[in-house]
Amino acid sequence: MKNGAPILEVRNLSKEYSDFTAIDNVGFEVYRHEFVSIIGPSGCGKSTLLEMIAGLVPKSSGEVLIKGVAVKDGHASIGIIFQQESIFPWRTALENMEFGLQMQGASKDERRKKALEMIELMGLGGFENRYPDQLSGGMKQRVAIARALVMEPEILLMDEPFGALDEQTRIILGEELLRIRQEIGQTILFVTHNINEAVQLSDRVVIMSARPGKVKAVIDIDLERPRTSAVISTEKFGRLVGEVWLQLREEALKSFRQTAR
Amino acid sequence: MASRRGRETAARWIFIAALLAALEGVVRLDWVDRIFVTAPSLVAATAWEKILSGELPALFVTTLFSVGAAFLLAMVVGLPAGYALWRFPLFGRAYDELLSALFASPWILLYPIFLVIFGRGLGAIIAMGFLSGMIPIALNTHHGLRDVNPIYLKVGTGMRLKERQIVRHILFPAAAPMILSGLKLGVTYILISVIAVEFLVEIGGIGTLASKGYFWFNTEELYLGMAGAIVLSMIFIHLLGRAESRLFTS
Amino acid sequence: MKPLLIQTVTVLVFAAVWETVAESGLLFAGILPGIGEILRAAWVLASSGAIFPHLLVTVHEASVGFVFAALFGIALGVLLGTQPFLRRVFEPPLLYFAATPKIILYPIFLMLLGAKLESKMAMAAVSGFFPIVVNTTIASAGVNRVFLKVARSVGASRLQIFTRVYFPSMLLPVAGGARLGIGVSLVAAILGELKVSNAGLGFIIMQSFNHFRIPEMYAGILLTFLFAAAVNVAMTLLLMRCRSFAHESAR
Ligand SMILES: Nc1ncnc2c1ncn2[C@@H]1O[C@H](COP(=O)(O)OP(=O)(O)OP(=O)(O)O)[C@@H](O)[C@H]1O
Ligand SMILES: [Mg+2]
Repeated sequence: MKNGAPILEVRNLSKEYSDFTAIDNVGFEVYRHEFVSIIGPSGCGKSTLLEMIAGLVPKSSGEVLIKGVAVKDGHASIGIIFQQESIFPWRTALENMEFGLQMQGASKDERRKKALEMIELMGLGGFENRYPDQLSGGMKQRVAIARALVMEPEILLMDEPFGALDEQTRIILGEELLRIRQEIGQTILFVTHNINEAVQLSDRVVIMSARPGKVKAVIDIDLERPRTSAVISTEKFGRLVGEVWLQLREEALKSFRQTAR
Repeated sequence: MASRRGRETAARWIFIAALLAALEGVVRLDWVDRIFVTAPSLVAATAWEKILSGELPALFVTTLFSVGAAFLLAMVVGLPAGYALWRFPLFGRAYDELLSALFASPWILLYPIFLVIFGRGLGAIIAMGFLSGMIPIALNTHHGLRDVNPIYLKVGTGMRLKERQIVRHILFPAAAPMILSGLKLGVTYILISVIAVEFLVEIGGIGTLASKGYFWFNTEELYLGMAGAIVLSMIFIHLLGRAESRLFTS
Repeated sequence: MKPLLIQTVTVLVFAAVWETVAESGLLFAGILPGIGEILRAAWVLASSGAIFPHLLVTVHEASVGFVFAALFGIALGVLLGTQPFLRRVFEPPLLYFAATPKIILYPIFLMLLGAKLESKMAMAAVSGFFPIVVNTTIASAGVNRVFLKVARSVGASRLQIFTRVYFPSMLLPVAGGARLGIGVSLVAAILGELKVSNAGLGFIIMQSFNHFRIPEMYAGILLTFLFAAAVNVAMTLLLMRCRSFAHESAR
């Protein structure tokens, strides 16, 4: 999967808050069309890392390179989906998807056309004129994903997008995400603390240590592509999940002790 | 379920009708002194007379003019003030507390000062209404902007929008419900204080009627004045509630 | 710390501007006394004891009115809160009525009860009634259903359910409504006095207004505000005591 130069390179990235280090010297790459997951215990700095890459949180040291060029505060080719629910309650599903294009000054027809394509892709047909409070949690996340995808980002950062969903919806949406990625060849950097999800979706999993967040290990997920959620029942899947958990267990315990104090 | 709703509404109106009928009966049977209480039918007759003569419409128009003028002023000052409180958070905190304290105080009792300064006329009434409406408008605008979920703003920053775009397309729409409820609160308070001052000082619109009726022993006019003021307030509040729910269930 | 500084400076600047305007006599000559003059008038009212009988009258009116407001407000509130049908029928008109200027009803009380204290008591009662009934309705309807089920599941008697579940859950919101009610009762009594009366804080203000004793009018308003603020602070403290009492009484 690693073809050519990486789209995103993170080098020696660190984040210091006034009284502690949140991210300590983190580095990794993401190549075109790749799906990379970052997994780590709660509070290890996953969101901070992602938002630093997107230029929303200033970095203390280190570099973020997009297609080999260092960027200071984000880049137009980066899209981000946040951990918290973030679709605008004052806009319909369709209007939410049009938002970015509207801000760029796209004509009404053009943005409507692109948003409708996105409705199709995301399987949101029939819900385009609903307001968020009339949508289920899973539908809302689809809208959030669509709102980012309409902008055609070269790399999409997703911060636990399915974190608030029930297990079944989560698995189904994961499968949808894989289908979409297959269709449009989207490059994705995905944050989660769900091991099954990381293995189900990724080409590679980056495992982070408990606070301060460092890269502890990187595991290649050599499951066949294209995948469906049926992959969960394979033996190889179980082995990979075990491998990731082995790496994570110690960190999770450490993090648990940190917070228990 | 619709029929349950219907039954409740019916019960409500039957209760009100029964109350009015009882009043009518008590007066017609001469069980009470007509100086104190009068029959709804007589009040209605007086109302009809005063509508034909143009007196009642003129009173309503005067009240609505005062309310409208006070509301306009309160918006023109309150909305930018609320924005400024948000824009400069340090001052925002300080003045928010001052305004809240003023709002919690019995500001309606300031009206004699307004009378002294603006003279006995609509000026004093409008100034009083302005004061009572401006404070909730400014406070709600401030709170609405301040309490916008930061994640919405982050979406804008993540899309690398200009500050102006974020303010116009994210900040204000997100704060709109709170700002609108501030406007609603403002109008309600303006209406209350305008009618109260009209009654207390006997200048201006519909509030004066009850006062005049009382002092001239004109019982029908007294009750018409009270009913008019109360019905006007209720219609106002009803329309505001409707407007609000219309805006937010679109 | 900083907001306090800004607030202090603001109040001082306001006072300074007031004083300058009053001293210069350019604007509002004769109707805007200097701060010193107002404070002196307030001091005379307070130190001579002239204001105290009036304060007493106002307190008397407001408190009798408030007691009636609380009795009827809580009784009706519990009724509406525990009887869903009644609540759905009567709550909407009650809320509408709550947002109308009650002072307009004053002439009825004047006719029925005369120009003395009783008519202001009625004003205070009617005005204070609304915040109390509204809060009590919400409080008694909002008692957690699960708590009631738990109490019933362990075989609590009706009395026990009332004293151990209803009372502690309702005490705080009802006390909150009562706090609002007291303030409203006080203002209503004074408004009544401003219109027609022969004693009370409102009477002092209106008399100085009618006789064009302007500094005294400002002083009367100032003292009334101070008194209202003191009542408010006292009620807030009482409410805090209520909070701990609510928790203790549940045991
Ligand atoms: N602005 C800030 N100032 C100080 N500390 C912060 C700030 N933002 C985050 N933190 C802390 O930095 C650490 C990492 O936070 P972050 O949200 O990145 O963790 P996370 O891995 O995304 O956690 P979760 O899995 O719960 O989402 C946490 O301990 C958090 O409390
Ligand atoms: Mg996070």
